[in-house]
Amino acid sequence: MGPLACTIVVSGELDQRFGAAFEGLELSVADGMTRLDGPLADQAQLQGVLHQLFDLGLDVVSFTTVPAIGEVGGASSA
Amino acid sequence: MPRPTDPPAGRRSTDRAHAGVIETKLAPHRLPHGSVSRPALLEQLRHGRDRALTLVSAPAGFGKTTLLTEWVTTDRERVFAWVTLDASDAEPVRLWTNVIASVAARRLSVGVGSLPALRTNPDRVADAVLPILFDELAAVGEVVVILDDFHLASNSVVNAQVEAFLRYRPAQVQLVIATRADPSLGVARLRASGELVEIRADSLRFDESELASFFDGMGVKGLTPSDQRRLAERTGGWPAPLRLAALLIPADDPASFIDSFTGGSRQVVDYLTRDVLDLLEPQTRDFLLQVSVLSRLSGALCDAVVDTTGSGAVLADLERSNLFVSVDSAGEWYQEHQLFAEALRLELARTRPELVPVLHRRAAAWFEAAGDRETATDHAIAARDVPTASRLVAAQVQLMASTGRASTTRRWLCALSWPEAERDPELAFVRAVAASLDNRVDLAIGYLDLARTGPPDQMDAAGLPLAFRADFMESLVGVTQVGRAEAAGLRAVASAPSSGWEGIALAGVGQALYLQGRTSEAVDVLRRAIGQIPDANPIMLAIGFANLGLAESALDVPSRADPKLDELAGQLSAIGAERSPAGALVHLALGERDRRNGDLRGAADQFGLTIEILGAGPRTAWLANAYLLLAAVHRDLGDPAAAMADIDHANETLDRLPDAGNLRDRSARLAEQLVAPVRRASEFGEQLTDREMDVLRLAAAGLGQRQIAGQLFISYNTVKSHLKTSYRKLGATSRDEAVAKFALLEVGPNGIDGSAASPG
Repeated sequence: MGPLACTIVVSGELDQRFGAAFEGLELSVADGMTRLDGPLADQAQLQGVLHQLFDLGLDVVSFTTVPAIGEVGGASSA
Repeated sequence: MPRPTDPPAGRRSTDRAHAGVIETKLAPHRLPHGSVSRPALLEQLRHGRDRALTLVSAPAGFGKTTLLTEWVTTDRERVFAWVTLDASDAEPVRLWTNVIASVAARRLSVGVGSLPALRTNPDRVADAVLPILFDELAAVGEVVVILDDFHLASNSVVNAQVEAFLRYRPAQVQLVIATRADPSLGVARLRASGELVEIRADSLRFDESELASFFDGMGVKGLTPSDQRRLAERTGGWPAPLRLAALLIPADDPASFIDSFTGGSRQVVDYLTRDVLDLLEPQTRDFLLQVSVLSRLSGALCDAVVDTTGSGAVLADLERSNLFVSVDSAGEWYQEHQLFAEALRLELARTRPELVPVLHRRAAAWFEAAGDRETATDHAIAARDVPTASRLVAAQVQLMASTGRASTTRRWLCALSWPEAERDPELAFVRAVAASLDNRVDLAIGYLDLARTGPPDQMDAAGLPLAFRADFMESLVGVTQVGRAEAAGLRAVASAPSSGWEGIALAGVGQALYLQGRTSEAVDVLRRAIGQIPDANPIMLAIGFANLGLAESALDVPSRADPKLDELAGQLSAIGAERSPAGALVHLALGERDRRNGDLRGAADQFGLTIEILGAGPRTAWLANAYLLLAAVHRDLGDPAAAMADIDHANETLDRLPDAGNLRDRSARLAEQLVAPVRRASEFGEQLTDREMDVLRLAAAGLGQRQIAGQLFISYNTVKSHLKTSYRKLGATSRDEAVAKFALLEVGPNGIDGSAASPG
């Protein structure tokens, strides 16, 4: 399992001040939801981010991961 | 029923101190102001009495801890043992010491047997410790064990042990687990068989009447029923945002706040980082941000970390204002609510990141001065302070290894994984010590090489230079590459800072010489060594004397070590080191002593013990040596098949060792002797039978007839008869003559040479 391009959506809107809190993922807000986009090194890092969100009391609505450039693959939705 | 009294100090508190027990974790904090009583849920908890597990599982901020605290404070007839778990309780010895200590605080007789059992059998909690604990619990009546924040301590080892606890505990023990994530304890199976009581998020949500009492209790007036309903809908009855709302609702205009609160979609944690903090005075805000690096807070600790005074009063005020801070029953230790603490940490990292390592450093210093080295280490690592972390881990590594807590050392060393930490020579030395205590010899040698890249004169806490430490450690431990070990030992001797340390280094050199078959040199060096090693170091004394015993036995002379070996074995036992490599060496030396005294069976037993101890570890020259010595004894006992098997075992190990001294030669010679045709007494007439040869061999070694009978498991008369017949066959008229003629026969193709481990 190698690097992943990751998109996580949580319910509710998080202020931009949380922008730096999630391992280099970019934070954007729309329609009452918050999106986190960016590259993660591997599954372990993904688990770490999901844990962090859980610890902050945030509800994860969806997450998709796509293997990073160089590999052919589809997205697996949670 | 016995009345609870204060726990005694002394022995038990030493066990607890060694296992990092923190008293404030062993009781619930005080109930927050305005908390709502939930009698229906309490009733459910009580029903868990007859079930295997009571589970309270919900995300942060649902009031799990509050509910359990209400139960503990209102149910006066029951005995509760509470443990608030944290990440360091993922290590079994610490976890179970906490559990036992918590019960012992209410029922003194618990822990008397189980704590020592935990100390001596840290790797066998389920089969060696829990049964004793269950007996102790069975004798003291009903008790409820509550483990709060279980998700922080959960891992596969702990889960297996807790599962064993809940399966085999005495019926009058109720186990309650509060957690944010369902633990993997076979919960589904328990649910299916009706052995589970569970309270989940849905049950913990406030209903309308609870909501009303909640706002009443928080002192929020003037909310209409419709206001309350809107808040209830927006939050789903989740207590955490409701407490937020209660804090933030302005008394003069609740309606517009409720509008924005219910209309918008900001997250709770968002409110916590902005609105709640905005409520506070700047000074208090700063204070909270800075102390967020701590997981538990006291006035004194906060004073040190924030570099101020009066923190005690600030904390008390915050607790009274219900600002997500709770306090323990003694009013000394506080804890922030987890969501709040997370929000604060984020805010601190965002606004003042350069302050974070400074705060952790101050915390590390405070905890170390207060005697809590473990928490100090966590903070030193968080501060990325490599020298302090290295010093602290070095000071704890031996004790942790000997009390079964090596997983904590491993956790620390793993956490020290950024580039500076991975390259640090002192830390590399600590890693080498940890690896050698874990019996990972080649890993230890690798780390020692890294340690040697540091300044050679750099001192540790005991004033020993780094180069010396690396060299003497390698000479003692590096028994997979014996030549290197000798070279390291010689360097250590040259740089030893004192006569005692020189003695210790000489022991390492002597050991390497013996393993290379340079036996007389080894004897000289080791005799010097034992004269210099301080008495206060029984492990090094044992290594020195055992090696001397082995070397002198190889020369077949009585050893100066002989009278000391039993005493040394006793000393090692007294410090719990009888199964260490030093202990194994002592058994090896005892075996050689037995062999020289003619007690071959005794020797075989001792060697067997050595192999049992060493076999559990990595393959080293020591293990191969033990097998070779055993092979020689089996040969002398007339069991060539066993001897060949021993040689095969030795070779298995030798094949993997880069440099095993002269052990390969010895192995080859032994094998040849076993296979070589024994010249029979054909020139004297009839051939000797195998059994007659065996008896003669022992007689040649100086054994009397009764001893020979004992060694070969035959009767005294049979021995006499064999001897008579063999004298006749050899044409000898006395035992001495028979022995002399026999010696001529037994000279194999390689002769008898002084570097063999036993007479050929």
